[in-house]
Amino acid sequence: MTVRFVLLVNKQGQTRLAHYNEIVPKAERRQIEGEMVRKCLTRSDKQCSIVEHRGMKVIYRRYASLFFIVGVDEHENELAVHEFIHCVVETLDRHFGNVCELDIMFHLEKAHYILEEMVTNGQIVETNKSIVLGQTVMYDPPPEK
Amino acid sequence: MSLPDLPSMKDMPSLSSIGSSAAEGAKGVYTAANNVKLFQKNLRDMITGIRAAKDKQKDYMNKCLQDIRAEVVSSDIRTKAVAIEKATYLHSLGYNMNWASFHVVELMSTDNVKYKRVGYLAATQSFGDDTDVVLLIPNLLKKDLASPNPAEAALAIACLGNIVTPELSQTLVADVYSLLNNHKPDLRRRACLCLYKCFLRYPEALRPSFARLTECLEDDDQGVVQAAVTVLSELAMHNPKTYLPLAPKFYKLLTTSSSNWMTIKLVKVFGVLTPLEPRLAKKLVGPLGEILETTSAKSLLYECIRTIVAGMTSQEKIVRQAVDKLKDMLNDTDPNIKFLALHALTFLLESHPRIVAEHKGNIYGCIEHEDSNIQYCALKIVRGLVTKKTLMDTTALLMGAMGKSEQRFRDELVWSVIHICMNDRYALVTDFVWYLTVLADLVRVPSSSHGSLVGDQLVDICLRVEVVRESAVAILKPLLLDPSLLERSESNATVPEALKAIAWIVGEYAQYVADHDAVIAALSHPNVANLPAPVQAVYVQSLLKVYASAVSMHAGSVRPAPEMPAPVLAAHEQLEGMYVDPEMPKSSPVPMTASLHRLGEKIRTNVAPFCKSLHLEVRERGCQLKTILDMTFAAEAETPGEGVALMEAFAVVLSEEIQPVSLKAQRKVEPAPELLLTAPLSKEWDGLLLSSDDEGSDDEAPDRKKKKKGKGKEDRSVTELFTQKKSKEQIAREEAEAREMLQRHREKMGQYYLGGEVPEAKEKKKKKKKGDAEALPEPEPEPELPLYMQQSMAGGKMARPTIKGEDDSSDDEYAPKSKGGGSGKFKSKIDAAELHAGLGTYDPLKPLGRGEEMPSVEAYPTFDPYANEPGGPPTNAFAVGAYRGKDKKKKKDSKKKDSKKDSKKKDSKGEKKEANNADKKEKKAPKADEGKVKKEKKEKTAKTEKKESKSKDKKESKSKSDKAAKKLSKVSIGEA
Repeated sequence: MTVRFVLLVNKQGQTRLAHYNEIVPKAERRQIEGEMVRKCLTRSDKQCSIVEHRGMKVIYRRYASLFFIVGVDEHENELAVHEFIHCVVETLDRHFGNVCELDIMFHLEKAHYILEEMVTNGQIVETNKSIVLGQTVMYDPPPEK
Repeated sequence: MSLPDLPSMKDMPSLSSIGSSAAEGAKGVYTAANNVKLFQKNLRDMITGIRAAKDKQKDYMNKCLQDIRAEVVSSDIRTKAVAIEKATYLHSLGYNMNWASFHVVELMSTDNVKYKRVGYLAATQSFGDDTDVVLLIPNLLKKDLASPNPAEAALAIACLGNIVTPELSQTLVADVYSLLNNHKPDLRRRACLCLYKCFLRYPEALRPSFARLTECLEDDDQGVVQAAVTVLSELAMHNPKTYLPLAPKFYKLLTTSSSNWMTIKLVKVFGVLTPLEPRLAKKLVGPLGEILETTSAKSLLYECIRTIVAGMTSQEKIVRQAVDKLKDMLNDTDPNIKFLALHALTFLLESHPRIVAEHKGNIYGCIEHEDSNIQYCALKIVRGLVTKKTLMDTTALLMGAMGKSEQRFRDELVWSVIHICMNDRYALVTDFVWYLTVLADLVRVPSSSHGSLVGDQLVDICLRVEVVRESAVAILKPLLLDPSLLERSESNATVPEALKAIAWIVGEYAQYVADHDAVIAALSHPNVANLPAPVQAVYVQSLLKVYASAVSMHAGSVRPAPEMPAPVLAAHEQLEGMYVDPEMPKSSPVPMTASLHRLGEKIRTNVAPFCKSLHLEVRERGCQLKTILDMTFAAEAETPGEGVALMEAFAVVLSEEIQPVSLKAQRKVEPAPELLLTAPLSKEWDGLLLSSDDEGSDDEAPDRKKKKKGKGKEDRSVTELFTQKKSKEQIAREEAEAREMLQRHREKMGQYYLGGEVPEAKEKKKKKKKGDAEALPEPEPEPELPLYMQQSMAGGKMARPTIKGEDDSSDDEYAPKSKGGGSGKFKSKIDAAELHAGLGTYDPLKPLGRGEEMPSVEAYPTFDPYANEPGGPPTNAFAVGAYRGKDKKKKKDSKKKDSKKDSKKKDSKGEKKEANNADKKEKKAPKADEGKVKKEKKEKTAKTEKKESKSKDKKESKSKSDKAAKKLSKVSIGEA
């Protein structure tokens, strides 16, 4: 269980996407999301984007107004996760074409499918964008812009 | 894409038609449902609506929820899918969707993958341990896992991995296992990862499926290899000792791997293995050195460095190389990389402090970094680097950093400074006067939370280091005189604690006070009342001490020769006999001077408020002081010199020194001879213990007792009793039995043996199990490992360092790590550490035991919950432990019962409609499953065929199972 959750939170602290790879009760989800917002959003660019949280590592990256927050196991490689976040964003970008917060809001399920292709059972399985999108797009074409 | 396949699938659409036929009953509902279809908002509309309804979002969403509730019962699958999609969206916003879980299951069972996916997404995100419909989905998942459509199987795998419960895992682990033989590499890969999740929840499955899992390391597809590496590394990470024999395989992969992701995993595994097996480090120098030089990926580079600093510190050369890389990372502008570099350096503190010290400049700079993570990490290194020589500089640096840092870190700095100095009984401190000045400075650190710690240190040093007392009083006096420290404010929160110590020191060593006036003024300052009561009490007491010392100093200076080195005891008598016998030994009486008198008067007036204090201790001491002074002045007024003498007598008593007590003092106290510390509390209990555990060997027990009594050995320990439980014959018999079993197993399952297994290991385990079933069969220090390692990976001659001690020590290190990792931290039910603790007791490399049957591949597809077996007692198949892999019949029965039970449960809940559906589904299922049974029989024959012609060539067997899988799909298509 390396990748425990992927959170997309905007600058106002609203959760835009929450993808958990384990069973987390509703109340605990809300708690985690709140704590993540408090911890990550208050940090400046000059601070490092690795945070310790209740025995797991949290790595985040900011893209425009959106924070990509990933919670991983303690022994996970921080830089690899950091790169993985970028990979996710690139994949989303290719799918939506210049992805923005609204895209993810309105196509939440697509974002979930894409994430599911990339992370199965908490493990990163696929980082090749075309393969990921190939699987996802099989059933519905990307939206037109 | 969608293949109409398994028969049970066909009845699924009819489920929704049942729903609509129920709706047709009531006409109103019917039209409503139609309307729903026509005017349904899709997900996009809903999101737009939510955004538009700015102030009334909550109302809007509640309305949406109502709509969804109406839509979700629709017979039209599209309507239902959209409704579930919306519900999932609202779920992610924090709305409950448990009520829709049954419909989610319905959606999951459609044969259109597009809608199926919606259902699976909803299930993945919303199902939990407590979702009752989870009981309905094992069959569904089972069917989808075996689906010829890889997309469906992939959905099922992803979903199962996320919502897996012990029960689900138990039921479905064999299905996932069989997917390891699928011809699609993507599915093999996913199955690998899902298996890991199943192991976590159902550890019994680990050992039987382990052999196949390791085979995946040699798969043709890199993705599958990577997945297998991921799973094995994840397992090894938590129980490294058990997986040490896999090192050669990992090593081979490491040298051939082309994927950075996989290399990271491999390097990480070696990071936990090398501390256990020092020769691995030597072996790894080559490959890791090469990666360090060639890789451009920072993450991989960092992983290598981490492995090197964690377990390969004995290899000087590569450590150098790693530290060179770390140097670049330290200079990086990216704070992440800087932080990680610092983090890696902390590991080297123990083994290579000198190498770390080379980067001192850089590390010191980091203490003033903007990021607190970096600050803390740098501080940790600085703490570890301090030596006698650098102590003063380091302290100066830390004190300098206090000014700029924020409060929390400042506290950490204060704490660090004190701990650097006090560690190992002040091992590093050579100049205690310097340390006192440091402490005095620390008192002034604003908002510090370590006032009491500073105070304790001050007192401790003054007590233990006699020579510094004079300087201490001089150094601390300014603090006492500073009225700003007496103010009640946030920044002075813990200052009183330190002041208490200072006041005590100044009072205790008042003979060194030069300026009595100022000190007394400070001690009796009106603002002292701001301090907490215990501190005030110390202040009042110090007043007396300082005044007494002032008077006696005056007397001593006037008097020509000190005639009063009266022994302390004499002083006591003087004090007691003072009024009884006014003829006390008067050496030359010294009359009180005006200044002393004035001082006394000042105390008397200033102490008045303390006499009215609400705190008893303060009040009492204040009154005492006042009375003493009154008495002194009265005596002085009667005969000049009398009062001074009285005060002097006090001074003598008060100057009696408090001696420090050594840490080892207690040890020197001899216990009284009549104290029986080691004698057993009751001999009767011994007898009880004997009788309770010697049932098996009654004939022996009295013998032993006699012996013991004869020897007169009375303090027999309880553990002794337990270990002596078995007779020699018994043990011998067991050993022979175990050996025989192992031999049999070896013959049968020879291909799964990884080699190097020596029969003893098995025996030990066996013995242990019988000996005390309660104790976990923890991995013993295995003598066979080194031998094995030698054969398999060491080409040259390597000197074998003694490993025994190391093994022990690493045992100590690792045991609490894996077990205690989760305690007090993340309280999630599925805490990895907790789960792994359960998994840790299973050693997959040991040969399989008699009771541990595989959830064998051939056992799998024949599994049919509705097969017509004679009924047994109703048991819950989903209960943990109901299935131990032995009794397939029982499992089938109970499963059947359970599904009925489940529908009953629904009834009682009052959800009539749903219950109807469920019931009908249940009734229909057996019919539909008849076909399935046939198919499965065919499958069974195919599998048994396979079993008979079981060749050692794995590829052949794999292709066979593939064929079988194809057959299966043909059969089902034909039937459809």
